[in-house]
Amino acid sequence: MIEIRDLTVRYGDEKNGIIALDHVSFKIKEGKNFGIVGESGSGKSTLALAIMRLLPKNSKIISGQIIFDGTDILGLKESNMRQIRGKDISMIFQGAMNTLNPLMRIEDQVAEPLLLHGTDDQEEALEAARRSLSLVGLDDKVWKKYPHELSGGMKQRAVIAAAIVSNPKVLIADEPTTALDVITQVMITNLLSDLQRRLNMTVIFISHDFPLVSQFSDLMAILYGGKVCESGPNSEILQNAGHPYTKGLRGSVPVLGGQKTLLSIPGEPVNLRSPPSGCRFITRCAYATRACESYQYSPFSMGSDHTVYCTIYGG
Amino acid sequence: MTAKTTPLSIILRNRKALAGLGIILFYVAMALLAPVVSPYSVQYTNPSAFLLPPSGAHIFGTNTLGQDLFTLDLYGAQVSLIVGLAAAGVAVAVGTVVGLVSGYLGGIVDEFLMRVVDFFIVIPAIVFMIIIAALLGPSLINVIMVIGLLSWAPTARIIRSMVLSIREWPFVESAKANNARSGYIMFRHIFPNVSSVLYGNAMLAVSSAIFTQAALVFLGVGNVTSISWGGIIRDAYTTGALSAGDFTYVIPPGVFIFTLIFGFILLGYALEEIMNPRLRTMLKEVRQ
Repeated sequence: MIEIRDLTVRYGDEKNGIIALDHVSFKIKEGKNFGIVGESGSGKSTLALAIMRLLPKNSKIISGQIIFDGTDILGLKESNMRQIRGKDISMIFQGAMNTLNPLMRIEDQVAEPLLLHGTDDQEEALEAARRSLSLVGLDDKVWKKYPHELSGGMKQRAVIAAAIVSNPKVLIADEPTTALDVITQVMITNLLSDLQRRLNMTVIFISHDFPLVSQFSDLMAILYGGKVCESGPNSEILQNAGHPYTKGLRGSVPVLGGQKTLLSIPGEPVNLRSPPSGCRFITRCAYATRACESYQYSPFSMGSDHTVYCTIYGG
Repeated sequence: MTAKTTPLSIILRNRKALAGLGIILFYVAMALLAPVVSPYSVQYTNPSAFLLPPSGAHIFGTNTLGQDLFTLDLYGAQVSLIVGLAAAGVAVAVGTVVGLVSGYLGGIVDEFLMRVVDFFIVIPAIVFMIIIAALLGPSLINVIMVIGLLSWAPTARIIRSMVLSIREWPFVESAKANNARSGYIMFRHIFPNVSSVLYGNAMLAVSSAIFTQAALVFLGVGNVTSISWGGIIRDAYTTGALSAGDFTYVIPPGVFIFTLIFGFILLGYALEEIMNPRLRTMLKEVRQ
């Protein structure tokens, strides 16, 4: 459905710029929940913006393709991209609190994507917006309200309603639950997976929250320093993690009644201005060897669709 | 039971706004009712009764043509209000569009527009206006355009600075992801969020336009033939009424200009206070 091939994105110029995504490749299957996990600066949001073709002006796509429905999005003319953006692929941004215009009524904002995609009939668009709002569990009491009259969870529901109003094939959710409390987080993720099943969408769920993504998604990719270090089905990754970074992430998740001390990954995130030449994780990895210094990220298959990028398994 | 909160009720609860609004309404009434209230017709001249001191028949006296000054003072409100409001309208409209485009698009467009703004802020406006008004010739529309098109720069700067912060809000990016074009984002999403500063700003623009119009007429440019307060003061000056101690010739139009401007400034400050909650709480703390 969506396939990322060899995608490299740089911010800034050649000399002082940083490589936010470095030859990233993976496949996102249709009708599945795909999770992307990574810490700050790992390139999660850059990836989302690249799919939407909304990367900021100071960035440059150095190489790669993003194949959506058989065509390379990156090669499309802007006018053709407009047919896709906000219609076939829609996106929920970080920070639910501010993604709504404070001076527009909820139903008008939810109807907006339709009106921007050639629906001339205002009433018809509003009808669809109200259906969409009901679908995310917001009743007619809030349709005509302004964002400041809603709670954080309700705002996030409204944002989701706006994202699904045009029946997109793909929904990108970039940190949709940050700044929400834990209970609301679970409610929102449940809502997203419910909608995913009902509308048969492909959901790309981006988060730094490993346990949340692992609960929510069917497949996931783990990014570190602009590189994919492991990708595969959820159950596989949870039970049979291959990459030391994934193992570290898994070990840092508290389990009820489990061990008392939580594991942490020593060191600090990779400096993208001068990344190590081989494996990006080398400075923090307990298993690092000389081979890692010249590792060129050749994939190792650990099972169906389960790919690990690490020298432990050769390469 | 608390009173219902409507925009009007908030304005009426503010004492500055109430005073400003009262003054403005007084002059609006004066302009509208001038034909009804004034004791003489505007066309009335009496060459034999020129430069009379105040009397029962002419409470402010007469001018060189024997026109009743009280009548002229009443009619003078019309030009001041029309020019003030229309010129401010032009200035605010141009300033808003320039500020939105400049702030939102950024880059070279921003750089260019801001240098134009610098130009208009730096040049001595009155001198420039005299030249242009003299070139264009005297008509009401020309005066409005000259004042309006030379005083939009401060508005453009204020709007731009607000756009710079609003455009970084996630809802702007979200609108982009919904396929919105720049023009749509600027006017549908960003404009409503910056418009709160416009109200106070527009009132201050009206007051400065009223003053500029009076100044231009006094200096002899613009529409000298129509009746205006600036024109009356100019006549008083050229006929030497001031040195003759003929104060009823000069003082009433002067006071009218001053109080009308003061009314708009009061309303402008009040609107700024109402629209800016931070300012409102700050003032409350100062008072306590």
